[in-house]
Amino acid sequence: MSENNMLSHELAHKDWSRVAPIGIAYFFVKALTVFVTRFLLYLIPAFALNMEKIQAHSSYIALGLSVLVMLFATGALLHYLFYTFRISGERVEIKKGVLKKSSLDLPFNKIQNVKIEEPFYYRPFGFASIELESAGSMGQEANIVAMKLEAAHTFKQRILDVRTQQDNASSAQESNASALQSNDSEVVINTRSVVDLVIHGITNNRVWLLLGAAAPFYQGIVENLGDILLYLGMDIEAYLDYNTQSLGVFILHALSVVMFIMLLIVSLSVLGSILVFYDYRLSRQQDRYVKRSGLISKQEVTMKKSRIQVAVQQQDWLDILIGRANLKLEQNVTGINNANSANDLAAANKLIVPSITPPQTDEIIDEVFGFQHINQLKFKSVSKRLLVRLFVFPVAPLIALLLTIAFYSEANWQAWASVSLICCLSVILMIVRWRRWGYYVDDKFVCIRKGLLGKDYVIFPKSKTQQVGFSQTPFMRKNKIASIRIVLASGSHRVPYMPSEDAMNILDDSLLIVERDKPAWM
Amino acid sequence: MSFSNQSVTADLISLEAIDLEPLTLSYRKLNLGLTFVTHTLIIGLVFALHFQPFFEMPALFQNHFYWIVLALALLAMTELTYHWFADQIKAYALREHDIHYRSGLFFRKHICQPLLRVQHIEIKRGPFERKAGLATLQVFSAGGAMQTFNIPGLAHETAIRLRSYILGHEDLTIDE
Repeated sequence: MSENNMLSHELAHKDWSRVAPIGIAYFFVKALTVFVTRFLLYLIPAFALNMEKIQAHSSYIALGLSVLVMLFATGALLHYLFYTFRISGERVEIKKGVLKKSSLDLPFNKIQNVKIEEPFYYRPFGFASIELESAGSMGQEANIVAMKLEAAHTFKQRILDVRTQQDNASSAQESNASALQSNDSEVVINTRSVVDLVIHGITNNRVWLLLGAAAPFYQGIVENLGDILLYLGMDIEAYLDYNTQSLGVFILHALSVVMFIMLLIVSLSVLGSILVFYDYRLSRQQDRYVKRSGLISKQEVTMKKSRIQVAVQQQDWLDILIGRANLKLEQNVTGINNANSANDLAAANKLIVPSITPPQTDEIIDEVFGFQHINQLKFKSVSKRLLVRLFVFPVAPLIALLLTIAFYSEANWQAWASVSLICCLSVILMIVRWRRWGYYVDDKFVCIRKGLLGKDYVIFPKSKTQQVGFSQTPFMRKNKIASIRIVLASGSHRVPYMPSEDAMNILDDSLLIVERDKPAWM
Repeated sequence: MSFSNQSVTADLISLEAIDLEPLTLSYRKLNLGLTFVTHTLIIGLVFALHFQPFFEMPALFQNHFYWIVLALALLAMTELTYHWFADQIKAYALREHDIHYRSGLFFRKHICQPLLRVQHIEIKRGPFERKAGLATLQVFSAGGAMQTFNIPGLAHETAIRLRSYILGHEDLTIDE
């Protein structure tokens, strides 16, 4: 009950109110991040090359920097002062903006995800920021900048309870009384140790996690890598000068540079993986899943079970070698800014379980969908005619292009050898690609296997179907094969060149389930 | 058009057995007309550049002038032929529980959108479509903008009638 008291104390704002003053730090850091990633990083090479001048005028630079910091601080203060919010009844209202004002009114039942984030500068004070993702149109995402951690959890609980009640009232099938009793019993489904995260960092390139969503940073570094290394005292151009060295030494040097860069990337990747997934815990709370992780900044994502559209098990070739896989549980992407969320591991619309073993994937998929042993399924392969199609495009044009270039440039035998090697490789890859494609269908589920060097398993319930598509060329019609595409709220999935009878059956059955039983997809 | 509202029992909803309604003839006429006008303009421009007395054109252009015209004319012919045949294939059907659209001359595609999953509907009309009394019906479901279901070349009244039928459908109120 004490929790409820606190809730009413903390949250029953009938009037507009500001967040705690620590919110200033939030705005400050946000402005700083934008400044650094959008602007400052491009100047790093310029700084690096003009180091002497900078050192000569260090007092001016220091003055400029402090003025800049003052500016940001003032901006953050203004943002803080103009940010007010109100929680009344069952809706959140937010007004914000210094010059560009915006106001937002978000009813609890429109909220799809609640994400609690604890940035490192909040953690000593026990604060958190809350990100509310609505199912509606874009630009509806709302942040409550700062709130006491306990209050944030109570607030989240309240939002989720409102939704549960609504769902139960609206659909009779879903109403089970136990879901209403808000006991906080949590079942831990999976945890990840640091060793797992190191493996994850090695098998998956998570370098950019360190850089956050800031792609400009990465690009800037890559473009100016030479300059940066030069500054560090490594003249890479001289090191790799083809003219002054024998071929053997050159290859050795090139290899060592590649190794160095690889090592750098891998260690950064491991670091990124640990940073984001440290203390990873996936647990079930009644009808929803909660994911918690983070080393410096912690985050907590809650996803309702019924909203999970599809489970995807991904394995790179390295994952296959060491017997690991990543599992992604995806939900609705409509209206969410896809450009960012596609690469954003922290995005609330995707729940990632990093580097687990295939039996563990089986367990989680069983838990989520009630479907067993996806890793032991006998998949049906697609038609061999896919090979013909893959040869026509893109393999044959590639080979033709390479041969033409080699022919007209009067290449030596080494070049011819590498050209024929590439041709062979592309043919092998084509065959591998064809062999990877597979599908398995039962009454309720569609499973797809695909990949090239890696291997993906996709599984989704037919009842989540949004739209279906069936396509054929005249050749395919003659040979009774067809490609299908099934659209889910999380994106579309396709199977090429399957027997048209199977294709028709899958689509008809999915349509039948959707149109007759009218299952909800949210 | 005949308002397709056939009763379909829930157990027999195969995609194969559907009578599709072709798009209006004026859609094909409009496409052919627009293609013709565009290409005539382009070829006209090339002619104008060749024969104009105001400035020198590059020698490459002048020497290969007839080849260029021939290539452009071939392109125009291909596009006109494509529209002539492809637009005849485009067809749609509305059933009790779903809406269908078929298209594609070589890559024949058949898309089906259950009405239960419709999020919202738009009718879009460009300036030429308005002139021809045509409209494009856009049906949106969840799953991103890539998955929009478009039916072009409907008579405007047909589009409005389709929209009001779909919006008035009982299923739309069930699914949230």
